[in-house]
Amino acid sequence: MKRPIPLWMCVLSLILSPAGNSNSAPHVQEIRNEAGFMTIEPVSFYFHYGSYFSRLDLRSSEARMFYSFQAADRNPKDKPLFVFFNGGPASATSSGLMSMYTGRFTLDNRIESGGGEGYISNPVPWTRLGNLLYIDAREAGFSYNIMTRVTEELARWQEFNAQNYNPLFDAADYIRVILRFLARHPVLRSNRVVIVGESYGGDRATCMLHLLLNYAGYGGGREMFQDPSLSREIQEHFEAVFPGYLGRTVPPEVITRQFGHQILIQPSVPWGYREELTEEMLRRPGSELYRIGTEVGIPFRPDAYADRSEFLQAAGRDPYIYVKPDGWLNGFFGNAGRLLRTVSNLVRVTGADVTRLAEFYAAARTQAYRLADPDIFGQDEANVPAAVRVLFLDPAAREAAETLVEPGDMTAVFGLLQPWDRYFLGNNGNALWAFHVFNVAMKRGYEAHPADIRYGRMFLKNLVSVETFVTNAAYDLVVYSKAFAPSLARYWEIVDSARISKDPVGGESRPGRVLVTYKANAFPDIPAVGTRTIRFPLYDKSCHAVSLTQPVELFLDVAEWLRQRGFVID
Amino acid sequence: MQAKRTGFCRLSGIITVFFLAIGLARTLPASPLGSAGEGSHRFQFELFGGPAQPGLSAFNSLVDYDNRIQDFSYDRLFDSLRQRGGIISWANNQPSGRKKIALSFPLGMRFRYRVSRRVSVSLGARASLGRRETDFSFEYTRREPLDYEDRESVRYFPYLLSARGLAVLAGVHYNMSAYRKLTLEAFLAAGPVFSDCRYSSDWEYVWHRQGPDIDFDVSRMTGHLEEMGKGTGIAADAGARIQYPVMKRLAIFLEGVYSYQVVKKIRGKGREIRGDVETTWEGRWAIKKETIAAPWGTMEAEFPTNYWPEGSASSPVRDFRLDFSGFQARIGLCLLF
Repeated sequence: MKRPIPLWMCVLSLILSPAGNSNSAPHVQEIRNEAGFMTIEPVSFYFHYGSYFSRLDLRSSEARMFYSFQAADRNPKDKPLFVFFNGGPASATSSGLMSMYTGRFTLDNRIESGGGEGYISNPVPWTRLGNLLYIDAREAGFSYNIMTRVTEELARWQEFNAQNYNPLFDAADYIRVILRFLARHPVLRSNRVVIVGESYGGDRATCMLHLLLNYAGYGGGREMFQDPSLSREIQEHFEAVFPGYLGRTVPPEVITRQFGHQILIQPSVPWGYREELTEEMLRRPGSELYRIGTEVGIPFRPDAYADRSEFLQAAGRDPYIYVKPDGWLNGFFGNAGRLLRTVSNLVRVTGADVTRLAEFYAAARTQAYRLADPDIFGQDEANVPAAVRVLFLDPAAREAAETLVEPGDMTAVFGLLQPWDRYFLGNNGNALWAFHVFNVAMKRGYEAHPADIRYGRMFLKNLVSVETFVTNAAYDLVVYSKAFAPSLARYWEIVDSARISKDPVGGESRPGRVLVTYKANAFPDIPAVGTRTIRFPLYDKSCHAVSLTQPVELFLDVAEWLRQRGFVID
Repeated sequence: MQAKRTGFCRLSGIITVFFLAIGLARTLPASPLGSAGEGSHRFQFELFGGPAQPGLSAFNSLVDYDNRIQDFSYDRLFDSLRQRGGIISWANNQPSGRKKIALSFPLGMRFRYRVSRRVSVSLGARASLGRRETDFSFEYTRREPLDYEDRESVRYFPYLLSARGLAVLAGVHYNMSAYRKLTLEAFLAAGPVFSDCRYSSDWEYVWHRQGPDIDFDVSRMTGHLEEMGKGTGIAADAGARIQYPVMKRLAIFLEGVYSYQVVKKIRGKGREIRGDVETTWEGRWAIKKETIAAPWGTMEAEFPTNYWPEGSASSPVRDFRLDFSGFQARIGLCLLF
């Protein structure tokens, strides 16, 4: 029997803005908070290395991507759109950046990890800077996929593969959601878009911007990843925003008038070289690992541990913030995930009446799935690097087990889901597996692993025309900031040098820049690049999630950085 | 089975025509100009055929290209993975493979009119067919650490190359008597040729993964690819022949011929089905150069195709020629009246 909707929800639904849903929603002229699911239809795309007939064809499943929009405090029509996402890949944004000092409500960082029963008002909401759009990745957070034969476990296993999970298609998902959101909000359609990615979100931002800036090559056979329908959708968008380019490819210098800024919070990019250098640097005497070893009485011996994750686990320290006990940051993510499963919290945090979203109700998701195996997270982990296991797969496995019975009241409000479905997953272990361990694109030799060095090259090419802000968190050993500049310098075929400058500019509280000097012929299609600057402020008390541990400092730095680039900050 | 039946029918047809010709020769009244081989008849009708080694090197290069792609995408990739420790070992099970068109059996007919004792003119047609249809499969197995094994198999049913040409030839023949009843002849003939070609395959691809905790098909796909083309070109024959009369109105002959038969401008349709996605196109056949640059190596290849998608980075490096040219040995029957 369906339970009646509680009175408080009815009241909230009257005072809050309507929630958006489905792709057929009419154009929205009023800019108000909303939440919804953006449907991404099955998409045919392929990988190749220059041979059309020997390509790897893939076709995705339908996705319903959850998004939440918070309108700017003042003049939203004139404000930029900040697009937020976390990383993983396949980790939720709802329990990440949306819950950590960016929106109007936030988890309280004064309560230690895992504590607290609700969200508080955020003293530094980014709605002062602009409009905020949070997007949960495919199968992460509240997003879910649709498939036929959903009752067959084998068919569900087949879903967790490259056709749904690879870095470039993941980025394509986000572009589709953003462009469709903008198309549905004509008053925002031409506004500047600032991409805000955390952790793997840095790789995703890299892929997104490269797809956007070079979109013709992603539909015309030049790039490794080919998604012709995305290329057409991008062309349509830019024709609407830049009417002078009707029927012509829009060049990057024009595209960056809209997509010309990225804020990357502890970005994993360039993952491959950064990971190599991180291990190398942390194994040098005097590194943080030696200091931790001395503190906890377990001396660090490089030959005794496969990687830093193993040692930190032995030392009982959190790799995301090494001055805290193991699991500290995941405690916050877990807490947010638990709280958001209570509908009133989700309504409060999103500022939208999510009970109006048909896609939430069990009746609308009979073909939905989140996990291959509803009972256990049944993937063999012995063949997996320790870091991937410790950072991603283990937390996902714990979460899958803990949510066999959904916490919160979503079951009561929206109905009982199929065993393989979930209302929320902070980390989707099966999707993580497909990204990190096994997918056919990766196994067929395509650079479809997030750590492939291709993505660093793409980051460096984006950097030529995209203004970039990257955080430098002192306590983060997952994305080790000290390895950032050296890992860019490893791209010796592109870069002459990448060095850190700590010279203060204009009275900055937290100075810091990375100066990247390019080789003369770094990119065949771009004449003499010269030097580009990445803003790189130090957050001396911060964990991986900088917005959680030093929210005010981050907010002020971002506001100042945007002001310097001509953004109007009220 | 289909191929065998077609070959049998063709042979039966030839034998039937042979005996019909003999029968017809017996029923016709004797010519006032004398017996066969003695230049006593004005008209001749000839049937001929025989094995030929057609050029078709450009068309056959599709097989080389497909073989190289397979080598690059599997053998070289797996070698690279093994060297980097990604896999323990790999193996390929492939009992047979793609085959080229190596032989054709042109058949022809011509009417001749003797304009003088030594010179005749002719009008005829010659059909050439080169076709190679093979069913084959391969299966690559790679062993990974911890007893995981991936098997990728592709089955072609069939893999087909086919090229046809119909030449309409006008010729001039010069003959002379040789030893006893034998006649020697030299001839030249030329005319237009109408050709078509077809490259197609039906395939099934399966990726099976097996390990201590899993055993399932990771992916499975069926597909179809075909590229077709038609065009018109020039054909010319230059040959010599020896003829021997077996009856008053019937002779047999042997010819050694060099046939030039080239079609340069070929256009046609293409169609590809992969899974549930179908793509169709139409274009001119030309040679495409591909550079495949993958992390484990680089491969350059040229192959003919009629697929030139809009906005594609590649452009034709040169024209494609459907070339049946080559030497041919023929045997024929000549009916005089």
